[in-house]
Amino acid sequence: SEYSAKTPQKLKLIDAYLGYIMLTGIFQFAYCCLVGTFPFNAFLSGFISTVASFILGVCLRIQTNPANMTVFKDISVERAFADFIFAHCVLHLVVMNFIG
Amino acid sequence: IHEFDPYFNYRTTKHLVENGYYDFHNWFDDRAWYPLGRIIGGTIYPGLMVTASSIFNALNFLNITINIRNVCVFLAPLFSSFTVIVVYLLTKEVKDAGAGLVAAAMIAIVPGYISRSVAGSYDNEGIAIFCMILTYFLWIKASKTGSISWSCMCALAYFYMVSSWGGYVFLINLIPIHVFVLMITGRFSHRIYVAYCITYSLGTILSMQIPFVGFAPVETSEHMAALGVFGLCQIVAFVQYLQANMSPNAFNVLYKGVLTVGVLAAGLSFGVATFLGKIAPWTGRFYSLLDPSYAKNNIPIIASVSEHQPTTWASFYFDLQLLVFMFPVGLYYCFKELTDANIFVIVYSVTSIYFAGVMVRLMLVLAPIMCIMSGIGISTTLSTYMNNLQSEQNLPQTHKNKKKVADYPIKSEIASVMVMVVGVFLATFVFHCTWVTSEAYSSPSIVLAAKGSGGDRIIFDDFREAYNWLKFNTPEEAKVMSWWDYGYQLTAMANRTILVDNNTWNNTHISRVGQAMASPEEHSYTIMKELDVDYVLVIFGGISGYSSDDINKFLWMIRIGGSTPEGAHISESDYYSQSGEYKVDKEASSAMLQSLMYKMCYYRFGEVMTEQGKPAGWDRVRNQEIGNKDFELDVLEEAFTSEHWIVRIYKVKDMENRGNS
Repeated sequence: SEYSAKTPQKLKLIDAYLGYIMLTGIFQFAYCCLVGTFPFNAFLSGFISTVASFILGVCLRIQTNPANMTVFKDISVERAFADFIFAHCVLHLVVMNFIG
Repeated sequence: IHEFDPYFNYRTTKHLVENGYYDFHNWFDDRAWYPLGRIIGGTIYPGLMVTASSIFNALNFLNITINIRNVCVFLAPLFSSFTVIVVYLLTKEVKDAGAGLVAAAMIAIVPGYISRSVAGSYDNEGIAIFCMILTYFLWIKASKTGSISWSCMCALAYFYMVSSWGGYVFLINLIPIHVFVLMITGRFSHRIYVAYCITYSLGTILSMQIPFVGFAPVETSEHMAALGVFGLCQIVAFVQYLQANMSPNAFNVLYKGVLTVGVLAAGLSFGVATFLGKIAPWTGRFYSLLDPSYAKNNIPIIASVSEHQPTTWASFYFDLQLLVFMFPVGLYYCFKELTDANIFVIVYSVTSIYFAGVMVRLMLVLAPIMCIMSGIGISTTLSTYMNNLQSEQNLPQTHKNKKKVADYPIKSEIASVMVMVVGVFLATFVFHCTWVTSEAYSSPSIVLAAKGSGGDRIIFDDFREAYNWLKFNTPEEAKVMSWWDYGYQLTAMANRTILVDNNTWNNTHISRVGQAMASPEEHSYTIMKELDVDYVLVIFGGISGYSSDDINKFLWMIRIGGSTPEGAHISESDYYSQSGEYKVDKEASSAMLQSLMYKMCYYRFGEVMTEQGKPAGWDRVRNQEIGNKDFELDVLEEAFTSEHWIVRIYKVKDMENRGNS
């Protein structure tokens, strides 16, 4: 299909990662709906961890997509990835603190 | 340390420094709100205390032995200098360095900000404004570059803001409004998507780390706008992606269908969630910003605080002077060249103007954006006219540049006049600001000063005299009843247990104290014995002329006291005179003359000559001769009266040994 043909390998990798993150998020949300929200902070930290990881993955994909080179002139692929790692460090620090 | 709230912040900072963070985080205070106590760890914004104690620890580690009180007193000026730097950076991002310099110079002296950042004003706003402008600067940087690291820094700055002030709700609504405005003006791009989504998701989970905020970001209406815009971001980005990859016809059909279904579903789910109580409605304090009459009709406590009153035009001019006039100029120049960053400052300024008009205390939020807009206005005006300042030698150059600039007669002269006029404006602004700061915002308010008849300065140190008397002459476990204004100062300086303080979290308890103050002696005695009160403290201004005393606040005590079921016997109209006026002389009603507050304030006052030519017992604040002069107190005895009779302390008598004697 057009998607398999046109998308570079790196972006396909990120897309697979995004799909996996979405699955974990859906599972957590379904579990919460079934079993209840106690302890709420654990649910929130886990769920927001998936949401934020998904968002960060999407942002990395946007920034490394060759089609968007004009929008992100100053951000090289390496810089995008480094930012991605930095944001993940912050995210997981907070999630670890919040998960209780 | 000035005012009331800073004393509480000072006391908590001392506790943090002496006992460490875990103790502070889990602190339950049993010396306030007797017999309820207060969970301090979970009901404060710790940013201010943690900042002060970090600076204290850092300096002491380097063996610069500075006292914690000095750190607290000078923290606000330190952070206001940081604010100057951040305002420069923010305005530079929005416009250019010239505007940044002007804006920074203005925020350095504007009275609206100085009121909360003088040395001694150790309050949340001292660091909150710095955090707020820092977050806005990082947000503009993030939205301009679209980089993940700037958005991450913005989220971290937002976390610092949440930890410092309850006004963070303004930020978490302003940034989504900005994104929404960008969406509807067709400026939504990948950069905005990256910036907002990262800021929101990281910022939300960071903000929930503060115990006082808890789960509010996902449960209360004040945060729902941010969540809504987050969802909208995803939808708009997805739509843009589809639009790029699908044929126009198919896309249109899909777009319209999904749009109607989506909007209906979202609206329905929000409505159902609010109706079922899953999403808490707007709380009183914030709701009263949207509907100013709400507090007046339903929550007397919020309506009684003088800082919550609507702002007068005089206040606007007093606090901002030149900025009031230059603000529309800056707004015009922002509209002239619209960029994403400009739209942000426009939205910020319009919303701040509205909120500053509703509540005087929010003038503080308005001051920085006024400085930014005025900086833009003045800088653009000056650069426009300075370009026209030509001397004879410059004429050949303009031919070379071939600039299509409109030429009108005496261009250079008008330019020099305009530049001079702006210079005069700026000079008067400086004079005004320094005068206002010295006259209005420099008083510590715990020590009062007045000019005597001979022109010399008289110092009224009654507050500290009375609090120290309490500290040294009463048992450690004594409980002191006073109106809630003085609670923080009492715990910090007198170190005694109190009933109600400035936190005002329990309206029923405050109402009980109000009933005790407003009822006649016998009834008050039962209430005071129920609350285990040992001492009662009142503030009285009749001799010194101090007008913020308890008799002037008495009407609010009556209103709040009568607002709960136990205060059903207290109705406001009983305390007015026959003619419906609030009086303390012979015309006052018997409910007024027999109330505990009246008796405590005017005990033995009937024998005092306050002014020449007036009878004994002349109240210098109300300008009336008091009505009930010779009375004895049955249930209290006078324990202490300060030098100028400003603070009066009474001891509650024990019950009779033999009943009904």
